Amino acid sequence: MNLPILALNLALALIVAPLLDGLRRKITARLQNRIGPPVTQSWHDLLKLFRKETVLPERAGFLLRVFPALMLMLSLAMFAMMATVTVQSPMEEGGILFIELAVLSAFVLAIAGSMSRNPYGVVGGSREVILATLVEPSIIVSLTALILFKGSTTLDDASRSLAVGGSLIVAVAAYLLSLLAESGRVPFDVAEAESELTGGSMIEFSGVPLAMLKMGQFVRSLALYSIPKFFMTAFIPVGVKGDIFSVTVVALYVVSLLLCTLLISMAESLNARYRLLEASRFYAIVLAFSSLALILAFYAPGSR
Amino acid sequence: MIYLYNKRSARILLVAVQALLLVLHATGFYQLQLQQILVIVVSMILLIDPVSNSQLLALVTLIGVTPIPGNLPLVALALLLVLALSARKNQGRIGLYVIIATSLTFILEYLGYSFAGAPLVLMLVGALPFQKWLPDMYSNYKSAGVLVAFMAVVFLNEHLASYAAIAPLLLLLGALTTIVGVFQCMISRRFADLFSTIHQIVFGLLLVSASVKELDTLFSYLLLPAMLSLSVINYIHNSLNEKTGNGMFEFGGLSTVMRVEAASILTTYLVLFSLVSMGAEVLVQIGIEGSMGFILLGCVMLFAAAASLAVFFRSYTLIFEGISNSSITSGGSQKLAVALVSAGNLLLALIPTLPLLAFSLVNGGKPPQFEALNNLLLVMLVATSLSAVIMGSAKPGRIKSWMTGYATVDDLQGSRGEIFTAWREIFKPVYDIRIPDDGVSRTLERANPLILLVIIIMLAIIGVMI
Repeated sequence: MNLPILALNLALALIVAPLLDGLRRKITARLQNRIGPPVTQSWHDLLKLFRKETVLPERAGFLLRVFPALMLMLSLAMFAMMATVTVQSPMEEGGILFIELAVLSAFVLAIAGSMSRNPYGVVGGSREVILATLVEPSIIVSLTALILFKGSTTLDDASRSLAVGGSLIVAVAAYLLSLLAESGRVPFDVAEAESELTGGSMIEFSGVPLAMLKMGQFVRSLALYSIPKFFMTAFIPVGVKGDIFSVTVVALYVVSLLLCTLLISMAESLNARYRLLEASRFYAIVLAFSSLALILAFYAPGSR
Repeated sequence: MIYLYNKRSARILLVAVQALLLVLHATGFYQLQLQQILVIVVSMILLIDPVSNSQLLALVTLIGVTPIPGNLPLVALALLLVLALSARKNQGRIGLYVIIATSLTFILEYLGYSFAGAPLVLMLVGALPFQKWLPDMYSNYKSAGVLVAFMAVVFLNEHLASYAAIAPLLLLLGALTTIVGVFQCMISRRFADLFSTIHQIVFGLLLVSASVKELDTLFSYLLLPAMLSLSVINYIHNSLNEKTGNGMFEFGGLSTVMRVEAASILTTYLVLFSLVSMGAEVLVQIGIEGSMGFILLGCVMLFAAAASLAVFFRSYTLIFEGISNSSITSGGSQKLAVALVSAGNLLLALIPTLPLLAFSLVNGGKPPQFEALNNLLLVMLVATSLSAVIMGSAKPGRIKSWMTGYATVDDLQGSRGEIFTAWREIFKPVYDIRIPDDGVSRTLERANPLILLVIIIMLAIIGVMI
């Protein structure tokens, strides 16, 4: 395990993740002809929450306090194990662990709401579990397709030259569709009463726990937005084993983050909400598409 | 002695002899193979059940420990027959199915067929003509029923070659059983359902791992102990629940005293979680080497791993809060008894979490080598511990007795039914899965299993003659 790269990734996550969310909010606002908050707004929100008093419901269990920190740590672990601005990954064979943490953190967030014993929290948590159950299989399948293309379970850029073809494009498209569904925003977010249900799972969190929960969400999104970079490096070989830094890697990483943010903002701004059952049909299509990508990745020349 | 005097003292004597055999093996005075140890352990567990046939179990133990070369399949099948005879009393057709499956296996092996293990596989997956096997086992769950399956899976694991042709079927149905088990866990509202579905998950994993050579270590050193522990815990819990009859062993009953019992349930979840995630890693790794089927299976297991942890947290809240508002009062001695039994259950649940220690002891100090390190479990343990320390030290500013909700969950369920009904509606295909299809089952159920058995045997003999 490469500790300096790990530390670099952790620092990067804590600084960049809220900024990326701020950027998403800004782009969404501009697309809707609004001025929108400044890019640093998410940072200010977090700082405000960290300073505020923590109020907990009397009958809530200990896990209610543990879950926000757990969510943040799982997200940080997810982000820390992959090569982001470096060529090398700090951890060998981290691909499968990344997938497991991605799915697990979604369920942790969903279940956190049920811990408060607040009825709205329970309802919000139940809804989040439904969404996680629908969306996460697509993420698993599309990320496994990436692993097949790389031929290794290490999330780094020191890869061999990959076969660039239609199957890789299908895999990229499948991942981006899964990412849209995973983002939990319009049109895939299926809340009918935003203030009651979407926020339902977080209704009893305040102060530091709420800040941790939000930070965890930001870092998780950042980690998932970072994945398309590995598809891009299939088109543009950037490094060999042993390299640590490469300007091309950093440039590709920034482009990847910006593209994902733009995609999510556009989907959010240009579409109307789906109802729950409509969304579930869409998720089934995304899963079928991801499965197709996986099969194509398996049989693509040069993969594995 | 036990054959002549089937009394409680004779049963205790048999257990003592079996324990002595294990001690002799652990100290190196008498060498037993892993399967022989399993036979002894299963016999010991069955002896707890007063309806099991102790005379036959004594005979099985005797055959099991006799150093005749090649007697292990014989012992495994003999034990299956014993279990079938025991199960026949309580579970009707199940016993008959087991007898059919074992006798067919014997006959096909004798006739030299390469697919001799197929009847056992068909029985385990509930395929024809054993279509009532799985539903019976899960709806009228008894420890003997699951132990029959357990021994059958052990036998199959030993004879991988005898059913290689239908191994993909076993893999598919194993994955399906696991996923359906996870989904059933999500909606279980009683402890009995919860246990039953946990068994279903483990059983699915057993089916998967029994036919994948690379999962052999996982099968022998984690899944089998998990299965045995779960069977005993379930047996103890169900017995106490039936005897007390006031719901104190249900979700929300006697919450304070039940904490140790709850801990045992939660421990079994952690065991499951580690098993599924470790199995998933191995399967994806094998798949990358060149098997699409294993990759898909690995994806299913990755999802099952995460979802099983979600179930774990759901059960945690149910155990401490409960579904019904039960207010059960009990005396101090009753609470003490419950706490003691629960502590025993916790110890049993911990056994599979310490497989290296337990099995290195009985294997003369040789721990098995795992091919995959369970990084996920490691990350989870570190993250949870750190989170608990951080949030434990950071005290909340205020604790308020009010909550922002204005209605109970039941009221909300009425007014916002979509959220709750949607779960079953969206995942209807999963809940509708029947192994095999009910319609086909009903049609073929009319046929007499014994006539089917005779027809199959006749066909087998004709096949050999041709």
